[in-house]
Amino acid sequence: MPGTPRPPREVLARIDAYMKQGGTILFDTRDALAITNPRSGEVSPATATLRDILSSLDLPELETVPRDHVLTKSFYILREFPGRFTSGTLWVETLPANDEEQADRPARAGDGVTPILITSNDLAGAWAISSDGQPMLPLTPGEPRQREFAFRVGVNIVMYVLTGNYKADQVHVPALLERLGQ
Amino acid sequence: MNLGVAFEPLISLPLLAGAAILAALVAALLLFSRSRGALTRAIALALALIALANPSLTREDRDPLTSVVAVVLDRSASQRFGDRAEATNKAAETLKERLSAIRNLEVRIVEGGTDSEGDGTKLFSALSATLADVPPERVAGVIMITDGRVHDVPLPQHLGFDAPVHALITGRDNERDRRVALTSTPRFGIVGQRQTIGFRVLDEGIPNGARVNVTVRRDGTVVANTVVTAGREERVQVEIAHAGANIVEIEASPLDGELTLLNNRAALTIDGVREKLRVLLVSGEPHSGERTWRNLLKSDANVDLVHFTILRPPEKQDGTPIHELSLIAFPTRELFQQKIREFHLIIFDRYAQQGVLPLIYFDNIVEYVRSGGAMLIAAGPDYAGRNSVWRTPLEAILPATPTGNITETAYRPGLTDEGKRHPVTRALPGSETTPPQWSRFFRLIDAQTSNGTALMNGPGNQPLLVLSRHGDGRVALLLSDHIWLWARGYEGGGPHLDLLRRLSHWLMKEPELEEERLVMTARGSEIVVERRTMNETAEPVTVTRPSGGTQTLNLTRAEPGIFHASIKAEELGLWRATDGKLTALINLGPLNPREFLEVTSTRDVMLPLATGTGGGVLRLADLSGGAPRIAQIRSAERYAGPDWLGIKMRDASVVRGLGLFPLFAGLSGLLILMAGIAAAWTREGR
Repeated sequence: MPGTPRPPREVLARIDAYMKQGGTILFDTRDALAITNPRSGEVSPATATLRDILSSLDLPELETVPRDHVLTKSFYILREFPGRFTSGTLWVETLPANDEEQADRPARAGDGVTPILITSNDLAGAWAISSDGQPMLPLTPGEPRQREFAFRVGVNIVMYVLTGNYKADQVHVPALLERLGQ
Repeated sequence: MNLGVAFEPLISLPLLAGAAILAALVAALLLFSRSRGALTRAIALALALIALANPSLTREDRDPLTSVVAVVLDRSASQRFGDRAEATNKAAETLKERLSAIRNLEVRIVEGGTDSEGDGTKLFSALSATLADVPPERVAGVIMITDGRVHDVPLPQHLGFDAPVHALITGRDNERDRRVALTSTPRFGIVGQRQTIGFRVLDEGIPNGARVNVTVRRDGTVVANTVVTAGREERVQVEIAHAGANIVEIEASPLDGELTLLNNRAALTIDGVREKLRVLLVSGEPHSGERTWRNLLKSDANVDLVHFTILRPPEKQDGTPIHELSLIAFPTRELFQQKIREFHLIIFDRYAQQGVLPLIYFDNIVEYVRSGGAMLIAAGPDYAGRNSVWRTPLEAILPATPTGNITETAYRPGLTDEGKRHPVTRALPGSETTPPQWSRFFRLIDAQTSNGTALMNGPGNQPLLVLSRHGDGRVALLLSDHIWLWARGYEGGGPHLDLLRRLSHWLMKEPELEEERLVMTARGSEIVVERRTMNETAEPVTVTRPSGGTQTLNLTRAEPGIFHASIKAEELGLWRATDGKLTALINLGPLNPREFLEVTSTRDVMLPLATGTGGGVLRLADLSGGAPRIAQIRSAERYAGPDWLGIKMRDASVVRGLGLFPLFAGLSGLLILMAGIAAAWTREGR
């Protein structure tokens, strides 16, 4: 939210430690609509606030989710990561560039799991249901199955933080099994 | 004392020569003209010339120096065979007596070949050490008493002195000995595969071709018995049983009347290297601990990990089109039927019987473990439930029965008494203090140990980590899924890496982690015998020295499960220790010491040097009285005969003082000159 005060120093230190020891935090600025032209470099107030909060943390370099990232295949096959909005992008830690050896790998396996995920698509807003099972918030633009895909994004993120690069390795299993017994 | 005359002319030599010529001309003229007093005048001239040449009487005081003869006694191990040592001592005694009787001869007796490096007999290094303070021109000769197996014989021109080198050879001409020489010695081998060792049985003193029984041992246990032909290259295949040092010995049957049995045995160390360990990890569901297992196994470059997670059990089909799912089929038949024996370890991580694996595959797993496989169950709440793997045929090999309850309180895992002794958990980092220095767990699957050993426990002494053996295989059961808290550094974390690494290595039968183990290690000048055991006491251990002697050691308790004793390591070679059931081997120094390679006595090694210096090589056994006669010789080509050795007596001396007396100086010179001139004058005036 714009204008959220920066947490005190000890809280930030704990957040830092949490991320360093394998934890992952998802930040959602929920303001994908605030930017009319994503390429203009314009910064929404909520993003500015998040930048201010994170500026004191030791964060890795970020990139938008590459097409071959484990997040795209940790359970469902996903190309986009919609929430209540679809225009925002999902940012993750930059993975080391593919070297030639790994070029044929469909999914990239970084050493670890990204400690930080940043989106502006308001995922939780899309997930929210009232006690009678009805969605609480409308979707924008309201594409068919957008809510379904928002749930799938949530499932993939949870699977990703629990299994790490498991899916990236699975492509090797057939070859590994083939080698067995030879 | 030496006397002499020295000239120191008062004028320069050309002037003196000119004066002499002039005087000779004058004298010749006088004599030729027959003038009166010519002779006396010539004499007076000669005297004047001599005065100019300034002669003086010299006197040197010289002390003659003693000549030095070195007697080198070979005290190497090969000199202990038969009567060699006795013959050496006797000859040394007699020689000492005979040499001491010679005037102006200093006798230095030195023992060589006693160094403990085991790299052969080095008599010449002992010799140069003892002659270090003697100038080469005082060395009268060297006599070595040896079996002839000297490994540092120099060329005659590199000897550094010009005196005869003699050798007296112990032993007899017709000695025989059998030895094993290794021709191909692999240094590494893959565990479980065979390595080929090449060797040759060599008989000295008898013709080749004898049939010889050969026994091959690995770490003290016989692995092969064959019959080979002496002199011919042979090969034997030995299986590399375990990682680390595999000591292989090849021993040939004794030859009648041979010198020593020590070299009938050759040993080599082959380092066992494991090929990549293949681990099958089956996660029943995604959970926080899964990444810990993955990271642990993937960080080990020696492990090929095959990992399957049951992301969606069959009962959760929801009609999502398959092309929208990123799911891979679980190749159960391939894994648990066709290729199960290719895995070194199977881990079930929070796996429950979810209808994925048919029961027949659990039978396969039981069979796999009994025939030497390894299985680790990391249990979660699933283990207590209705679908627990305990309710499958695996029950037969599971070491603890779930009670159906789950304890969910904070507790600090502890080591049981067995755990303090067991190599998997002994001295686990953090266990030194009470309570141990590691973080708490919050869940324990209640179970009762049925046929295993609990190494760690939780609240109420309930088992946390239980190990058991079935047939040739091993099973471990970890009754909490919270070890990931240690990996994430919760409350400072814990020794999860150590624990899980040791656990998996124990499961895969790494010898380092055997409960009952006898180990010998060299520590400085001592050998430490260490017995690791799960028992309260340790049996005495019998230690066999390289030379064959035995000694029984009583072990004392050093820490839980570890008993120690130490013994002075004063011999090089292969030491063994046994307590009746377990054996341990350790090799000190080179595996096959040069000293024992060739042990038959020989003249051939010393002969070129002896001949080159004019010395002789004699067999002690051929000499009456056990020692040669000694002859003093000033200078000769040969300093040896069939029964005598020559000592080159040197004339070295040192000048103590020098006296000088000028003859024509001062009053005496003047008087002589005056007398000569006066005589000439008188004669002339007559």
